[in-house]
Amino acid sequence: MKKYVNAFRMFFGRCNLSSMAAFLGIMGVMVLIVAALEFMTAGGDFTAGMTAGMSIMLSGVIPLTGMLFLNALYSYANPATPGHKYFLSLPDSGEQFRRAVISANVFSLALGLVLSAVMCMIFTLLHIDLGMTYFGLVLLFVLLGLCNFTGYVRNIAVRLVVMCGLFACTGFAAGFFSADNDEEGITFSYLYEKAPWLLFVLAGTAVLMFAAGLVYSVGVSRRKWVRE
Amino acid sequence: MDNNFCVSARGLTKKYSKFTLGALDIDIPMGFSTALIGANGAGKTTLIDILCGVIRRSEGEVTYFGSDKDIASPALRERIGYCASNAFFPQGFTAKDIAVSMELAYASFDRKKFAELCEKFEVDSEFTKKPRQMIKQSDGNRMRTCLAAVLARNTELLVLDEPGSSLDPLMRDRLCDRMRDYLDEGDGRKSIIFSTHNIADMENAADYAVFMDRGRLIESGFIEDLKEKYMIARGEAKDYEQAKPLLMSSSANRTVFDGLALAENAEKLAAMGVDSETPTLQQLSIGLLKYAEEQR
Repeated sequence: MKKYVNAFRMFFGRCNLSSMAAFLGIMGVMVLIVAALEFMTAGGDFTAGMTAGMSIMLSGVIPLTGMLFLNALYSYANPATPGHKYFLSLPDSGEQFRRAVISANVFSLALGLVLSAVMCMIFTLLHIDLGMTYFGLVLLFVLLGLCNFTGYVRNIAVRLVVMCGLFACTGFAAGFFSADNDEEGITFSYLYEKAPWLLFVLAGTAVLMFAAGLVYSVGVSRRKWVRE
Repeated sequence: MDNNFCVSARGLTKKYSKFTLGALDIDIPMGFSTALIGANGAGKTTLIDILCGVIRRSEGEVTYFGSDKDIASPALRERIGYCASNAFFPQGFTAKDIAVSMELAYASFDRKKFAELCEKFEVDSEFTKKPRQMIKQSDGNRMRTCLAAVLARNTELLVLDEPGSSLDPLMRDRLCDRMRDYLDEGDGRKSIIFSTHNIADMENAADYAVFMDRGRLIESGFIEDLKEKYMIARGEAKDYEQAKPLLMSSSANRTVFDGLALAENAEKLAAMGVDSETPTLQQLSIGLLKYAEEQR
């Protein structure tokens, strides 16, 4: 376990672990503020108006936070990125990179899960539909998987096209889960009540994609790390 | 393989689509400082990157310290200190991040020494209040930080790619002193390989020189020996045409000419009324690189 944390710190220094903690701290403070507002206004129109659209905006943060570490890590495999030569010159650099890939995935996932839990607490307090949060969580797994699959693609344009394509597709799909969708439409709550199996299939597929991406990346990491 | 070489390469080749390094047969003596000299695109950085395991060679063999052949071996990497020409560390790293990362990576990294060297080189150390990220520092300060990091390790071979290029003349002079100290500390067991374009400034730091042109080795040897092997010929313009066949490379104006020649031709040139003098490393480099360019 220590080896994996050390490999992560080797690639990210000390700053990212502390910024992760700071980020979670800020989210914690947010929960307290929202709880205080809820208590003071007794669930009135003020908090309802203030938090309209909060679910859509903040849920998008869940998959994005997960991508930050992985994108940064995989960029070091590109010779054009500052730091590439430093990391390649380290003792046992291929193995260190492999460990860093695993730990970056775990940290990304952990961060996403904690963030989702915090958001669920906030949104529950504010009586906001959790559909978008769950969708953000599913998207976290999908994007992590995709990052792992495309991490070694050197052409940034190709990676961007893949990412943009995925965002467009998921953005379209997200419409189904939004509480702002037409009341007669297929919302998360509707699916949960009428066809829960579909949600399980969706979540299962996302987890499978994440697992496949991780297995692929770990499998090829040593070979792809020193390519030239 | 001779044990007196810190690096010996045989048939070392690296093939790119538009450039090929080698095949190089090269021996770098142990206990000395070796300068890799060549024009842009000569293959100095490629050679350094191969020696440090940053890129893979296409063919050939490299032996380190007389016996080690596997640059992927962590034990061998512990013995080699490497510093690239620019953007060596990630842009977001501060001195603190570098200290954390290198302490985890290298058993021989001395964090206290790193902080001391940072202060000596007048750059942010990990104890500086709010140390700046690499991206927020000048090229010169980035290089100083890299040098402090690599010198804070207990290594037997330092490989520095253009260490003086972004440094001011005063710092270049200090670097030469540090390199001399490093060799003295090793008592014949520590060696340095560095590439440079600032030949005049770095001459004091070099004992041995390897001249490269378009991926090929054109000359190598101890600088004192090379200064005996070659000479600078200087004469009046009227004698230029007569002396030219004996000059390897030359330049002339309406009144005088000068050029590089083999010292063995000194008597013949003297008979023509041409003066000779010992070349500096800079003159030697320019003469040899010009000669290589004309021979292409």
